[in-house]
Amino acid sequence: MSAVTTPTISLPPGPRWTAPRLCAVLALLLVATLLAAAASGAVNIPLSALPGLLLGVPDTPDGAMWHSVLWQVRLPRVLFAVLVGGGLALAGAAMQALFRNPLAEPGLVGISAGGALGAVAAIVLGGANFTLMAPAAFVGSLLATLIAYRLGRIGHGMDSILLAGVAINAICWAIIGLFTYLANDAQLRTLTFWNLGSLAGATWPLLAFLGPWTVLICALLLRDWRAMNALLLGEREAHHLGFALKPLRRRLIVLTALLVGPLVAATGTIGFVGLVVPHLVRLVLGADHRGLLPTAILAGALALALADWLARTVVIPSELPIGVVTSLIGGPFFLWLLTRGGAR
Amino acid sequence: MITARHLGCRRGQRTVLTDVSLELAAGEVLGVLGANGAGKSSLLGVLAGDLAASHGEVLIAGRPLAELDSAALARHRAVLPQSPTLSFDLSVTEVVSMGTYPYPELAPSDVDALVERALLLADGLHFVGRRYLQLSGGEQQRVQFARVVVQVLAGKPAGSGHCLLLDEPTASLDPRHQQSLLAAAHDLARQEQLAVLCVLHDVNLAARWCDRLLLLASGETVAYGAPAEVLTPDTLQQVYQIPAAVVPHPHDAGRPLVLFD
Repeated sequence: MSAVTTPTISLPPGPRWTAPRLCAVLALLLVATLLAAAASGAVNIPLSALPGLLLGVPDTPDGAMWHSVLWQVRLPRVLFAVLVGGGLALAGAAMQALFRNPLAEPGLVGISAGGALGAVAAIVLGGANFTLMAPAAFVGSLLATLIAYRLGRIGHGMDSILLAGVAINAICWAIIGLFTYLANDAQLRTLTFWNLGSLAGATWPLLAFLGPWTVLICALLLRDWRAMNALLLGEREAHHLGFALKPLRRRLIVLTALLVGPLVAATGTIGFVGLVVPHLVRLVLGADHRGLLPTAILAGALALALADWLARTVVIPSELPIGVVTSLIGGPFFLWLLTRGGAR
Repeated sequence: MITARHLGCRRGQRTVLTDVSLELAAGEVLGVLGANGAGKSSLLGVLAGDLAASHGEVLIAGRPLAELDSAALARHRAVLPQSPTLSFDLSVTEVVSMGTYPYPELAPSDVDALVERALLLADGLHFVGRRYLQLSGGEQQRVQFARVVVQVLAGKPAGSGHCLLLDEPTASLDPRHQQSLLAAAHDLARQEQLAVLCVLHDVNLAARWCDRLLLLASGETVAYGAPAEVLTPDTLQQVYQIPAAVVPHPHDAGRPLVLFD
């Protein structure tokens, strides 16, 4: 698969952004988005009241209510969007480097399908037991990845891991289909909701666990920027530059599964962020992972914060599944990029 | 610097190398010649640590190759493979500076100096500021050459980085750059005491720039020694299966000039 030339999109040559400058702009946009998203929703909080609310309870009649909405609902939710978006985008960038393919994403090795299978099995067999869903999804994603990696290793290199991943994905979705067939109406609703993704599960205790975990795994992945660059030259060339291939592959796959598994478990499947965001950043910065990886984290966080803001606010008081929003916006946007005439 | 003793190598059912021995000293350029499928790239692969030898052993800087892990190996030798396949968008300097990855301890200013020196040697200083994918095939080849030169020079202060293995480095270059690339490899070997091994197809280029030549046919050594001793009508017939005449070079009587019929 690595020998196959995949279509890539190129920008016209011109002055390029540097990673630090782009990161600074994205960080500013992210902060602005988070504040705006935290203020809007079924209960609109005036932006002027935000600084006071973030520091303490102001003495206005609405203040106490705004305070509790902001601290109990909105802040965990926007911070969760940052965590999930950043994590998914970084995982996508790592997979694209590992497979030397700009169209790779974490789902390729079964992470998403395995997670979905675990969650669906918990819903149907466990009687929609929510405490069981997240751990089951996590175990499912790790197991699927491990099986794809193990089976792939018997063959030759990344191509066979990729093919094993395709087969594992097909098997997982088939079993999910079987469970869907067996599910009752209530289970079916939960199942559909999970498959479309949602950040509604955001709570401070969840963030207290997922936050440090995600930051730790991201930091470990960021350290491998040299190895990811070397992989772009080719697997043999990466070996020549001092990177032992088997441990490197194993490390990148395991770290990605450890990063995405818990996120998928907590949110359901959120499509397109892991694929499109690194691709977009690569368009602007080039493929040097030293700048690409941190920028992808920020861009992913921004993309998901915007998508969740939309998901929460377009159909108040209800909300759209965020997976629908990311795919509905990401898909056409990607097609537009492809057909803009810049495609090689 | 590199010692190979009685190397044998199998790829699947096929034996690609049989009993090949060579000694490559610091400051020396060794050319490897042979027809397609003669085992040149397999030999380079075994010496680079990509392929396992089924017989014999390779010593790099006095230590068995099998004892060195990837990171240690990268500090002892740099490899320019045949036809690199980078399809991602990187700048020329980003590609060349990858040569310093085995030495993460290097200061950014040292990296910049090495990149500049290597690009100068590869006649690619004017590529700075350009994207790798916008270069022609031959220009990309020169950038990749600069990358391995960086790798082999980056280890000098640390007392490592002594071997340069080049697989058909001149394949897509014009005649001027074929000469200048091999001249650069030759001068580097002399000045920096590098051991350079170079797989080549052009017999006369090999005779011009290599101190010694190894001729391979069907994975076996046909001849091994100075160009004038090795390049004879008999050995060339044996290696390439076509008749060849060998005459003294008009500009340098000590050097053979090969004319294939």
